[in-house]
Amino acid sequence: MELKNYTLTILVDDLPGALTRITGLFARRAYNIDGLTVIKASKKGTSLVTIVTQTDDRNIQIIVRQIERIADVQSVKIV
Amino acid sequence: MKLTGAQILLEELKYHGITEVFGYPGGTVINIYDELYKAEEQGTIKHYITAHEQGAVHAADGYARASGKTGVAIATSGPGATNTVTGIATAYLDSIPLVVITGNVPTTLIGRDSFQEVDMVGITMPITKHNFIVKSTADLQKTLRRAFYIANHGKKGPVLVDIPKDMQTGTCTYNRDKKFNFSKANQKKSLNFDKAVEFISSSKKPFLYVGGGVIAANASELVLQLSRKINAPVGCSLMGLSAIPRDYDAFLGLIGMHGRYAASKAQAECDLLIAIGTRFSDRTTGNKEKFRKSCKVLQIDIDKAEIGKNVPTDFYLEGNINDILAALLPKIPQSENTEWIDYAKKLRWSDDNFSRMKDHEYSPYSIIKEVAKHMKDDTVVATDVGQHQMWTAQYYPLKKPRTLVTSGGLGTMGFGMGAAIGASLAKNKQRTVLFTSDGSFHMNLNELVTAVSNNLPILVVLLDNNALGMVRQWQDVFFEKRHSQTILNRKTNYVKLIEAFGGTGFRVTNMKELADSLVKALKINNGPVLLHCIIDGEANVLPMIPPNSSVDEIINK
Repeated sequence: MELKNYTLTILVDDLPGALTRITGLFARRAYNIDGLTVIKASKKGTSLVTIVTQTDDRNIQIIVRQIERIADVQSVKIV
Repeated sequence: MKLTGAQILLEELKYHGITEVFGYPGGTVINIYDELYKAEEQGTIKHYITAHEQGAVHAADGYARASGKTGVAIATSGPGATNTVTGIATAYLDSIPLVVITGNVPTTLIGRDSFQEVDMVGITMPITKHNFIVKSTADLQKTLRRAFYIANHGKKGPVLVDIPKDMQTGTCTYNRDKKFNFSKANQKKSLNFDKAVEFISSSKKPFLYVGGGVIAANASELVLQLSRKINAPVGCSLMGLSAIPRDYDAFLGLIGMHGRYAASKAQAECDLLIAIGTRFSDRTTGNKEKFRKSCKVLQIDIDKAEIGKNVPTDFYLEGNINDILAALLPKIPQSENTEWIDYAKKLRWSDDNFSRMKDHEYSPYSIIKEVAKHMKDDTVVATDVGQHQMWTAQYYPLKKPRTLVTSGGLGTMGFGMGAAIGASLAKNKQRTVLFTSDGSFHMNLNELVTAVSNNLPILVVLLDNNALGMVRQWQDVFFEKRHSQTILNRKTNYVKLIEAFGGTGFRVTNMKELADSLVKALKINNGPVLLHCIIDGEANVLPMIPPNSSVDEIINK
């Protein structure tokens, strides 16, 4: 499978541990993080996490669905 | 109304219909136990103390599996909390709804390596659906509501709530009728039933692969209807066992590594695999390419993250299995083609499907079948992990959903004794059978005390092969019989052991002794009875499909 760069934007509840849950998922499933930023989002009580990762078309769908399952995550988009 | 945090916890347990909890007291949960004392006097919530916190979580787990309700376990901070970890992971891998409450040191002492302080949220993050540490008593009600919601919503699983001591003693106003909404916005579900019907109609050889999700969704009846309507034989994962009655003539049993030949064979030859509530575990699929070589895959699951995770899917329906099947069934025409299902039924009765010893011989299979003859259709059967577990999965004639309580995903030796206690209590102290072995039983036999204290009629059938049989079997097959650390040669006298705990035991070496002991054992209704069955140390679990292989490589003799 062809590896490509993907950028994910993840809207999360602004709670302690929310970022750990996301990066922990990447670590456990052995997905590499090539870039990471976190900023307060315009919606009150939320943060926007941006993650760049290298993978293939099928795996990125699996990653997105697993992130969506985290209780603190509101939404995930592939940019 | 102003309540303390500990009182709020008790009110919330009652709000969620919890009548039984399992646990072990300690320094940072004394306030909770003080409220449990009052609840017991009022007759609202009964607490069962186990011998060890791991047993408490397994008991809550067994309770949840047998009843379909949420299991609740309570432990103190530090070692009490870490003892729950294996129990939580067991429930997580099998998607069992639990709410585990741990105490913690006061918030002022957190992060200072205080006495009996551990970071339980950190430790359990990868083995819970979600977890919380409560930082304000005012948040406690919402946190507990959310914990129960998450444990039961979507794919079920365990949730841990860590409550520091000062959050239990702190007070705030409490309103039981307060409403909360935890659903996430914009969740689109893909439900193209017409396309699913197209897949099914164009199939000449459909096969239903049933997992634990069918039991969680109470969808057994509709799966049976689907099988009859499209003439599809049914196989299942370990977690799917008991969803389909063993005597249904198109039910082929367990698929995979130690599954039945007929089930794995029919799966390998089907042209459409309809996977319902299952995650394609490696123990079921073996080699994943070969597993789906000849077929298309239609997956039905409540959790989108499971779609295509382990095996690529051609089409899927996401949502509650019962709702999906109820909507799908009327759209499917009754199939008139019986050639395929007749072939599958023939496989079921073929010689290759019976790699066991003869029925009348004294063997693990005949012991399991003899015990089953004395049990009711709704008797819950618990197991530990290893050869005895596979023999039970292969040959115990399960007839009703939720009658098998077994650790599938994590494969936790020592699960059985606690789980059997929880299952018996879930069924109003009904007789429960535990199949275990000398290896597994030694891991959590301390929970016999809990069965004795609560007069639970648990029949412990211990198959003693003087070995860690499953590993010993692998050493036979893959390591030229070098039995490294698997021949136990322990001198445990199990009959005296259970007598010391306050129960009754019998030693069994042949079918006659088994029959006689069973008659005596079943007269005892107020405590555990152990049958110490000495079996052939070289008995193997057959058939066996080696890891990452297919039914073509099956070892049948």
